[in-house]
Amino acid sequence: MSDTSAILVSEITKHYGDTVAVDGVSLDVPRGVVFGYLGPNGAGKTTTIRMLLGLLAPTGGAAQLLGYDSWSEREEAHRAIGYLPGDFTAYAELTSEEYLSYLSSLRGGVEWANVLGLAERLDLRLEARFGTLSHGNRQKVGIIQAFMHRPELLILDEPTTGLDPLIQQEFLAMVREARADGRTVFMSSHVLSEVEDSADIVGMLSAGKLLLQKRVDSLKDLSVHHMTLTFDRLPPREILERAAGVRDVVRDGSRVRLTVEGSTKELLAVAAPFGIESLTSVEPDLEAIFLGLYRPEVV
Amino acid sequence: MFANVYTKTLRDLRKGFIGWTIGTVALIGFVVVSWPFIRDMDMSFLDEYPAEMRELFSFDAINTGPGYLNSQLFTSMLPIMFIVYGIGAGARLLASEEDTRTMDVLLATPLSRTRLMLDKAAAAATGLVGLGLVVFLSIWAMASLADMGVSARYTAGASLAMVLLGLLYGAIAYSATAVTGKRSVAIAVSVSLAVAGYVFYLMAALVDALESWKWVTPFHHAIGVGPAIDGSAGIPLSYLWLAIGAVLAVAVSRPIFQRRDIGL
Repeated sequence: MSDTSAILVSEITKHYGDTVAVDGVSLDVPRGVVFGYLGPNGAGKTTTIRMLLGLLAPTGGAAQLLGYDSWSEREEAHRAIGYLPGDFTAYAELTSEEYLSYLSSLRGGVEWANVLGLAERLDLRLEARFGTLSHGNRQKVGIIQAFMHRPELLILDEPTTGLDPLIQQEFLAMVREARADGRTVFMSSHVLSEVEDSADIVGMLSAGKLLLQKRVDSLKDLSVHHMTLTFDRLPPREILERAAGVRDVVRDGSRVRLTVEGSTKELLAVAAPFGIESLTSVEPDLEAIFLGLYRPEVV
Repeated sequence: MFANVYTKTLRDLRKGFIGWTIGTVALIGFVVVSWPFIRDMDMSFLDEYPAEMRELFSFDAINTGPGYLNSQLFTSMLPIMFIVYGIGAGARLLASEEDTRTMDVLLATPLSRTRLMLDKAAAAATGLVGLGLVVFLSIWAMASLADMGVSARYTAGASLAMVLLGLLYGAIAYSATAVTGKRSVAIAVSVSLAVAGYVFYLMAALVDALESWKWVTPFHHAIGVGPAIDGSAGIPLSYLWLAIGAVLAVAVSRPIFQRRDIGL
């Protein structure tokens, strides 16, 4: 636990009467990473984030942003962060330009070239009044206000909602650039594919509890591959089952369907002598891993 | 464009302010235009009313400029308008931002909750003072044209009383949103207190047993003494109670706003 963590959460808890929205969550987000905070709707992601932002007081535990206490040193912490709330909206009667200028003043002035650059990247005209914008364009305004001052730490709650795929890609590029810059991005999502592409570390939240916090690449080692191999000569079942991680072997003519947990290296090594004519594999993705975590017997 | 929350809030209040200005000037215009008819009218039928009531609404002096303005504006319509304006602004300023979550983005900047609260309160107070100025200037101009014999000091003192009533009940509504975040609660509380205050003011004037309690209601301090009663110039010290009340309401709610959960 060092003060170089971008976000340090210790056993943070939030009770609403009898309901426990967040239950003893601890996180350590190092600087310079993209952290994906995953969980289904209602898991407590937004509640956690609002505690990080000092909008909600934790019932127990504490959090630090860049070394500052998220509740008692709110204003200091906020100098160096950019925040995009989950249900971002702005003032209907102001133009995007007026709104961003307002926030810029509250931040002590922002390099306006940054704003213009971001608007161009995201294809947003700043002269339109916010009330006339489509949902996707409104979200772009939210993204710009979070990024425009190039903050040390970005906290983004479901940032890609309403964005069309092209803009989503542009946004993820912005996230990767922030990381390349040595800055930190903490992003919540229930859409796993985009987190998969950009996150270094994921934390998975379910019903207020943190199930795990792991590097994405190590998560994929936990994955489960469903494979179908077509052989020249059908290997005996025992040989296949002896390979590490293999289970549920089903032979069907010259084809074998099986499941491999973790690396497929050993299976391929024992199967190769029998002549693998073709092979299909359902590649692991975070969604499968994630759903697997809801079933207690996996992992 | 908006250097801070104060200037942004002034902009938010602008449209409503323009509407209220037009309404207020129209009302004053109507009242002043009717003056020549009242001045020359036989008002002896007002003697039928009990003495206390005649005193409350300046009926005895209704043939004079200040008496007429008191009865038509300063003891009835204008207090209501200023209180409605104050409560309307006070109940909305924080609560609407909290409801729509625009406040979340503001508070993610280095802006403190205290600064947010005070800047918005200052903007609402500015609006009320501005409306007071509109009243003062319209009456001063129109009453001079209509030759009503109304001094600037009388008009200034009476206008100030209106501003202070608006500030007090507006501050109560504002503080209620700072504490609860709910516009409905704020309106219920401040309107109830305003109505109760006014009813008690009337009762204390009409009922002997309550006479010694009249100091309890803010309306006594605003319009029960000073220009609105006897047309005198000068600002009574009792106006201070209203100002103190407004400041206290905000001061008490500030630490609560500082510590509570924002939104849900």
